[in-house]
Amino acid sequence: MSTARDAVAVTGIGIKSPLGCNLDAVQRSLEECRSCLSPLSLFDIDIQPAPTVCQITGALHVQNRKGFRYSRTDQLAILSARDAAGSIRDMTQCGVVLATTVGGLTAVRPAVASDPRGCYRGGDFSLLTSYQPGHVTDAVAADLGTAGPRCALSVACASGAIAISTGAQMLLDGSTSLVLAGGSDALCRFTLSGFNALQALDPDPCIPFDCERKGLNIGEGAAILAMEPLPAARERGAGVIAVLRGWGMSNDAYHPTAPHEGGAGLALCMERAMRKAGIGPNDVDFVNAHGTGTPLNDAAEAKAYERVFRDRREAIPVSSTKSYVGHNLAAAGAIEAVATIASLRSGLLFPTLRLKNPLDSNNVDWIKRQPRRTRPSVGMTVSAGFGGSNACLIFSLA
Amino acid sequence: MGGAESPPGSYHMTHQMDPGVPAYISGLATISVFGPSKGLPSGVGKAPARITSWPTTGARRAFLIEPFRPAEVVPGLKTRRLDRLSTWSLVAASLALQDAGIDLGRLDRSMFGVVLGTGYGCLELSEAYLVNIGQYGYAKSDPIIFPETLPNSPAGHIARQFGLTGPNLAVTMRGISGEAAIIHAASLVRSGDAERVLVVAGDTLTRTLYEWYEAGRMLSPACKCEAPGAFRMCGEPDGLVPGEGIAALVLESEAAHAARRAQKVYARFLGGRIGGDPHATAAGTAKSGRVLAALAEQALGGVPGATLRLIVSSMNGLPAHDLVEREAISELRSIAPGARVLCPKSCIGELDAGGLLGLAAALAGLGEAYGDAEGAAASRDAQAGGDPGMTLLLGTSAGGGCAAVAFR
Repeated sequence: MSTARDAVAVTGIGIKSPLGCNLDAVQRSLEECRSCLSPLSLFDIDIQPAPTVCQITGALHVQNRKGFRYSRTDQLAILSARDAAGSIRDMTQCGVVLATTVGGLTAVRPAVASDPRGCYRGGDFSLLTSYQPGHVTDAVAADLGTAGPRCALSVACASGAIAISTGAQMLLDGSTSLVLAGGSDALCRFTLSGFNALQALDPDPCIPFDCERKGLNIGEGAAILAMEPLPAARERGAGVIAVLRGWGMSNDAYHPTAPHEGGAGLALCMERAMRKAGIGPNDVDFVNAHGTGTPLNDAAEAKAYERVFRDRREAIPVSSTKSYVGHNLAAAGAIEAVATIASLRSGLLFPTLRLKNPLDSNNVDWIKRQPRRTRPSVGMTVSAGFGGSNACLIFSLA
Repeated sequence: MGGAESPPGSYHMTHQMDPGVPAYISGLATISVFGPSKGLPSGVGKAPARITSWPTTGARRAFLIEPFRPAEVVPGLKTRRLDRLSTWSLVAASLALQDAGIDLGRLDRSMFGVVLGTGYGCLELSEAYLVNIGQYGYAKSDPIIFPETLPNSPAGHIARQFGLTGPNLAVTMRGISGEAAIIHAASLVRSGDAERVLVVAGDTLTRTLYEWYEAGRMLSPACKCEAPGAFRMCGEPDGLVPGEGIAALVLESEAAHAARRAQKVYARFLGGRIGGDPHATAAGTAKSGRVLAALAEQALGGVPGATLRLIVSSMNGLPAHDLVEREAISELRSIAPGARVLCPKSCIGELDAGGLLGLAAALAGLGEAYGDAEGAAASRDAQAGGDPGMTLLLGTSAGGGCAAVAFR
């Protein structure tokens, strides 16, 4: 067994979510089992009844930097990045790895597709400078004044976890010694319309892993982790909040939107993450699941847990943060990473809210009703997305 | 619980990257103004073609891909209902695998990843979806189109087509998406997360994007010329000519390459660096070429500049953009006076994720030469002597992003 030489320390966390705007607040909300789901009021849309969403209702106070016109996604990312950077004094060579699926779509009017020239003349030109997914990364890098390596990712709902994996990889390959990594997505009509068209929305607050589950709720938010090599973090006396011990990525290679029925791809990324962390199924104390609440996802995910943890001595405790904050798309993996860290920190396993009649799965212990005190030391979080991509992160306390 | 199989507080990480692990480009394919091509593209520089896909007043020109039937290029390939970016991704990926001589039936496909680089993703479908919303409202939009609008859709299609269950991601780093894609693919290979990666990078040109360039007064007069000649931009840059296309390449570890007894190697990936100028605006590039030059020197990793034979520039005709590249090239010339500089966007046009397509074009000798003829002559002499030397790919993006990738 090697020491912590190659481990990645989480030394800062920035989060903007109705669940809370710092780690303590998020932890409190989870301990209180506070659902942040409510009918959409942020903007009008012709979907009836108003979709149940997780929305940030207060104003986001971010002034446009000269030469930038921030989208809501940019604003969420910037606020989170500032908090994640926290007390770090020298950001000049910090890496930035951010994921988004919505990006500047919040500013796009449907008319731009049929009459672009007219819309640009009418004022949409400057609004649409934020359209590209990569704009979020540039906006954050400019705001923090960093000239370090940048990477923008868009891997559907696995994006946030993949951004954290990519950031960690950049630390290990020597591209940078400090990185901010995570995801940001704002609520927007485009995505609500899409998930509504797919009949994937639950009109009520979602119930992941319940036999009566009807679908998901869309949420918005951002979460960004400041990460650095563990030895370097200790050397500079940084407070180490958690350690990222392993990560894994895979693809189902199965269907554009549906997960592999047997959860093969998800299982593969979990096995890879455990191998990288040098641990086995008995070392994992709980799983923060992808758990969207859609019939297909949750069934496939349950199969994946059965597969990975079949030989575990005790059933693996599993729950879904999406029952609190809905599905935050590209931010989901990062927000759920924060929830996983909150669980490790508090010594509590947080339940899936509203879960009454869970799926019948071998060797899976669906956490329900109330937080459970177990003092976990290793937590796993899992993400999956359209296009078949999967990602898994494994955290422990320092 | 916990710690049953390893002592609590100990870490056994198996993912430390060995920077010495080589990664080879063993297969290549492009779809460009020169048509679909297995291996390096071939052809002679063309004038930008007249746009007929959407209504325009007067001539509007760009470097466009002529429509082709995918199944005629890759027999049996089914691409019905896919947009052009996904279709081209599948065709290019198929041709690159063929070019590399890869028999997927004999390989571990769980260690085969896909990294897509794209600046705009599936823009055609996003537009189609918006038109659909404009017609029917948000409540009655098309469920078939929506998931395909996601930028990583083409990467998912490639995984499904070939059964590749390794890491799969889309890098959307605006004007350096292609460069960023190969850098992250190499990182996956070097860390052991994948033995092989299909790296695919490209973008499509649509009406909203073309008219965006137009509204921003970024277009060269060549775009509106009734009878243009070849596009030249290395003299006095006066604007860009939009383009579209895609490149796919197979990147594999030395061990994976040796294990299948493969012969073909286009290049060895030496290193790549991405950075940015935090003083740039959202639409502007870095304020000077210093950032790019420094990244290039890091990518070369201390290898003597004298062995640098070819610099592939991302100059596109926009004065501010090209100034960054010119300043960086000027600095690099001080360590590599014999290097030839090619600007492939003079023949493929400007596309955000055009870095790898530009690399392929330049390796085929396509693109306008920039700078002195002495460098070109020295480069040719060195190549005639059997030393292919090193190639440096430069990338400059709006938003301040810069990238440099070194190959031998």
